[in-house]
Amino acid sequence: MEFVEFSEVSETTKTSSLPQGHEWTVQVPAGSKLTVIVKYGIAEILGTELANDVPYTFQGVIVNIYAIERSMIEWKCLEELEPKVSENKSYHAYIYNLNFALERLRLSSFNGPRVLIVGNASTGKSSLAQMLCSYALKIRHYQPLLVNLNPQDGVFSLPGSITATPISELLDVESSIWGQSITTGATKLHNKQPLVKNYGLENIRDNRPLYLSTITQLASGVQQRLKNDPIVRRSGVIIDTPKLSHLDTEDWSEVGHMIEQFDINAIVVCAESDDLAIELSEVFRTKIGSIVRIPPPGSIIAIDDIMRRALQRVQIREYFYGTTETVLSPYTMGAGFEELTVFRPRNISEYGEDKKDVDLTVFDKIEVNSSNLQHAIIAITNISRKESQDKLNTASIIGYGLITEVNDSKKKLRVLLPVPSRIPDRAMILTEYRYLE
Amino acid sequence: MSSEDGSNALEEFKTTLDGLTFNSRPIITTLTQLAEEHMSLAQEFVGLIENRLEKCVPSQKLFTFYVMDSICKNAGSPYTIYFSKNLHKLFRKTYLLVDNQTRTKMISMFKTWMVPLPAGDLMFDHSSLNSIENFLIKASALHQKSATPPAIQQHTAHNGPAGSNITVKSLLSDIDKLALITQSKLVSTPDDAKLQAKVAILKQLRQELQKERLAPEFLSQVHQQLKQIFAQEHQQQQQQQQQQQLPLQNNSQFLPPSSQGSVNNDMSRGSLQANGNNGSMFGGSLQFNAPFLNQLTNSNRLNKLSSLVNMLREKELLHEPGEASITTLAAKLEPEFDSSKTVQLPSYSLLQDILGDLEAQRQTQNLDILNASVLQLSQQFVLNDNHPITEKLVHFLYRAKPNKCSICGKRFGNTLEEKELEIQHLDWHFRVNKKIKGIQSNTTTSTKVIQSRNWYLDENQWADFKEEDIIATDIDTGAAEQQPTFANNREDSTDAIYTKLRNKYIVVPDYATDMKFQCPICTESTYGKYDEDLGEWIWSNCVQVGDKFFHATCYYEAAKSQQSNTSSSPSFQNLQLDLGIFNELLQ
Repeated sequence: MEFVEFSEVSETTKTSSLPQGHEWTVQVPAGSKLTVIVKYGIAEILGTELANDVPYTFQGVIVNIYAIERSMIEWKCLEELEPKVSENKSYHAYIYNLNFALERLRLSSFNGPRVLIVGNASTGKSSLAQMLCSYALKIRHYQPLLVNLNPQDGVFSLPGSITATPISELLDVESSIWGQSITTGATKLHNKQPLVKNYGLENIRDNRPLYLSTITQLASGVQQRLKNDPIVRRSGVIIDTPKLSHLDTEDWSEVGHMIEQFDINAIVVCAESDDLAIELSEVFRTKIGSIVRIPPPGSIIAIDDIMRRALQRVQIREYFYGTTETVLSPYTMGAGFEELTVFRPRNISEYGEDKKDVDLTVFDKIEVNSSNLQHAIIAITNISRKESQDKLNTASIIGYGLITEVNDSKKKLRVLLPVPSRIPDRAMILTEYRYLE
Repeated sequence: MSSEDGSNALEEFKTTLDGLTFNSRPIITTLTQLAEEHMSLAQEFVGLIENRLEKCVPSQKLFTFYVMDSICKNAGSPYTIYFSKNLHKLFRKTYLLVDNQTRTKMISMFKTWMVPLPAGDLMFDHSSLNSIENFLIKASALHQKSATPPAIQQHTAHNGPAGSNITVKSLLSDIDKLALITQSKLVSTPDDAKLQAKVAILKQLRQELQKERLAPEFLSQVHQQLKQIFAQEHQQQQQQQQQQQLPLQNNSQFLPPSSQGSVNNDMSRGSLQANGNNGSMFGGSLQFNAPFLNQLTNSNRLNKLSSLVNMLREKELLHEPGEASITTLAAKLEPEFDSSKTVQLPSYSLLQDILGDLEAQRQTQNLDILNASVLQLSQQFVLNDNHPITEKLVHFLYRAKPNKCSICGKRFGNTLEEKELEIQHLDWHFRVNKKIKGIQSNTTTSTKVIQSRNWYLDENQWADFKEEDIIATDIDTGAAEQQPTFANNREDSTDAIYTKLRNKYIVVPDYATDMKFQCPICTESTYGKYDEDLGEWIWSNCVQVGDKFFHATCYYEAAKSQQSNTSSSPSFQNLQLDLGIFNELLQ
C-alpha cells in the first residue's frame, strides 16, 4: 500500500550554508524548540566546537553558530525563525589574539591571568567570558575559573546568585545555565562544581553593601581554591560582570572592589569606543597591568527586559527539571510553617530618610506565610536554623527551593527541592525571584 | 442457486454498472437489489465495483462510490468487510483525480460513514476510516494553502445541464493544443498514417465546432474524448522521455490524467505544488499539460536555433574552432567518455578535512607561544584582525588536533599521550551512555534512570574539591557518588548512618513485574537497577518491612521522628514503624 505523503511545511528541515568567518544568529522563543545539526565543516557556539551529525536542541535561548571553516548546518523549528547570517571574522580574530596573549601569560607564570570583563549592556561580555574559557580548554588541559558576578544571570545556578566554577570540561551549549552542576546520575557531558553565593535581590542598586559583601564571600572561597589547586591557579580566572549601568560609575566602587578581591591583573573592556577604557586606566592605573578594549560583535542580539525575564524563567526551570537531554527529577516536600526559618535581605528602597544609618548587610527574619513566600525562590544556606543569624553573611548556598504552595490556615507549605530529601533544617534566604509553574 | 443463475446475475450487474455514466438513482437501486439478492456473489460484485472505480473516467467515479455506499448501507456485511480492504486506497486515488465539487461530495459521503450504525459500530473498518480521515485532513490543509484565486471554471459534465460550462471556445483551444502535439509528432514520423488521420479528424472537429451551436451534452462528450486522447499522448510522451532519459526539469510535475495511470507518490506531490497556481489541484480542466506544451515550444525553439546556426555557417559568419582548439578536443573526447569508468571522488567534507589537517600541521610546526613576544595583552596586538601569528596559532584550537570526538566535538591530537586520552574519553562516553539508557533493555516498559541535582558544596568543601573527581576518565562513578552532601555538616554519625542506609538494597523479587516499588512514606516510585557486581536487579536504598518496601532513608527518618515526637506525622502512625529494625539495618 503506497501512501501519499503530504510533507508538513512547518516541520521541514532547512539547510544553511555558512561561509568561513560567518555567524548564524537566531533567537529561539521560550516556548519553541530549535534543532541544529552540523552536516560538515567546523562550527562552534561561543568557543565550544559542535560535533558533526549530532543534533543539538535549543529552547528559549539565543544561538550563535560561528563557522570556523565553510560549514553546512541543517535546522528545524516548528515556529518561523529568522536567523541572521553575518560576517564576523574580525571580532573572532580579536578574541583569538586575546586568547593567545592570555595563553602566553599562563605559560610564563604559575599564576594565570585574572581577567575582569566590563562593559555596557549587550556588548558581548558573557559570550566573551564563555569563549575565553572554551578556548583555554581547547588549547591545553586547563581549568579556568569562570566567575559570574551578574546576579540577574544564572550560571550553573539560578538568577539571584553569583558563582565561581572551574571549567574543566566542555560547556554545554544546549543549556541555558552553561551546563549542569553535579547530579546523582549520568549526564552526556561532564558536570561542573560551582561555588554559589546568594545576593537574592534583582537590582544591585537596591543593596550595594550586600552586593559587595557577597562578592567578598565569593572571592574568599575563590582565593582559597586558587591556593589549593595549582591547575586552576595556572589556568586563571575569567570574571563576567553586570552591565555598567547597574554599577557605580562615579567612584567605581564595585569595580574597584572586584579588582581588589580577585587580584585582577587585566581588564577587558567591551565597548565601541576607547572612552571607557581610558577612564578605567586613569582610575586603576596603579593596580592593573593591562587594559584591552574589544569592540562588540556586529551580530549581537540585545536582551531587553522581557527577554531577560523569559531567560530567567528558562534558567529556573532548568535548575529544577534539567534539559531534554538531562532530565532531572525535583522533589516536592510538605512541611509545617514551624519547620522553616526564612530571612530576607534588606532593600534600600524601603528605608526613608534614615537610610544612611541602616546596616544593609543585616538580614531580617520574616514570618512564614503565603504573602511572603508564595511562588518564591528561596536560597538554602549551609547555616543551621539554630545558629546565630550574623553567620548568614558568610553562608554558602547548598541549593535553591521553590515554594509551590502555602496554606495559611493549616500552616503548611510545599517546597520543590532539587534534591530528594526532607526539607533541610537550614536557614533560608528569600530571594526576589518568583516562579509560577 | 445454480451456477448459471450466478453468471447471469454477474453479467447483469456488470452491464448495469457500465451504464452508470450519470447519477441515476434507479440504476443504483437496481444494483443494490442485485447485490442483496446474490450475497454469495459478494466478492465478485465487490471486484466489479472496485474495478470500475479504477477504470472509469474520473467524472463517473463518484456514482460508482454511490453504488458502493448504497450496497453497504442496505446489504451490510459481508460487503462492508470486503470493501474495507481497499477503501482508503480507492478513496484517496479518486479524491486526487476529481474536481473540487466532486471532492466535496465525497467528503459528505465519507461523513455518513463516520456515523455509527444502530448496532453501535461503524460501517467500515476503523483503520481504513482513520487513514481516510487523516488523508482528508492533510489534503484540505494543503488545499487551503495552495488556494489561490477561485478555481478556474471547473468542468462539471456529470451534472447534466452544468455541462454548459464547457464552452466552444475552451474546446477549440484544447483541440488546437492537441493538433500541435500531433503535428509535431508527425514531423518526426511523417509516414505514420494513423497520425495523419488524427490530424485530419481534429481539423474536421474544429470546423464542426465552429459551424454550429451544439448541445451541452455533446460538448461534454467531446471534452471527455479529448481528455482521453490527451492522456494517451501524455503517456506516450512520458515513455519516450524515460527512454531518452531527457533531463527534463518539469518531468516529475506531470500528472497522469488517465484513470488507468497509477498515481505515483512523487508525481502527485509534485503536481500538488506545481499545479497549485492553476487554481485547482487536480481539476478536470486540461491545464495539466502546460509543462508538456512548454517542452514542445522549447523543442521548436531548438529547431529554429539549429537552423539559424546552419544558415550562419553557410554564410561563413560563424567562427569554427581550429583543429588544436580545446573545444574540438573536448568534442572528440566526449563520445569516449564513459561514466561507468569514472572514479567517484570522496565527499567534499572528507577532502576538506584531509587538506585542512595537513595545512594545520604545516602551519603549527615549530610554533612556540612562549617565545612569541608579539603575543602581548596590548590594545595594539589584540585589535589586529589579521595578524600572521594568530592565523597560524588558531590551528592549535582546531585542526592541529585532528581527531574530533564524534559525540561531543572535543578534539584530540596525534601524540601517543593524546591518543590514550582519546580512548579513555570514548570509553567514558560509552559508559555514560550505557548509564543514561539505564534499565531499558530488560523491561518491557522503557524507564529512564531517575536522577536529580545534588546540593552544592559549601565554601570549604569547594575550596578543597579537585576537578579530577569530575573529569577523571578512569573511574566509572565520577563525582556523583562521592559527592559530599550537606549532611556532612551534621554529626559524623548521622552522615555514616545515611551512607549505610543508602547502601541498603533488596534484590527485586520475581513477582514485581513492573520492576518498581512505591515507598509508602514519600510515595515516590523507585525503579530497579542492574548491579553489575551482584549480577542482580536491585532496589537500592530499600528496606522490606513485612510485605512492604520502604526507602531505607524515609523509613529511618519517619521512625526516628515518630520516636522523638509521638504527636507528629499522624499519617505514619498506622505504619507501626519500628526503629528496632534499624539496629539490625545498621549493623
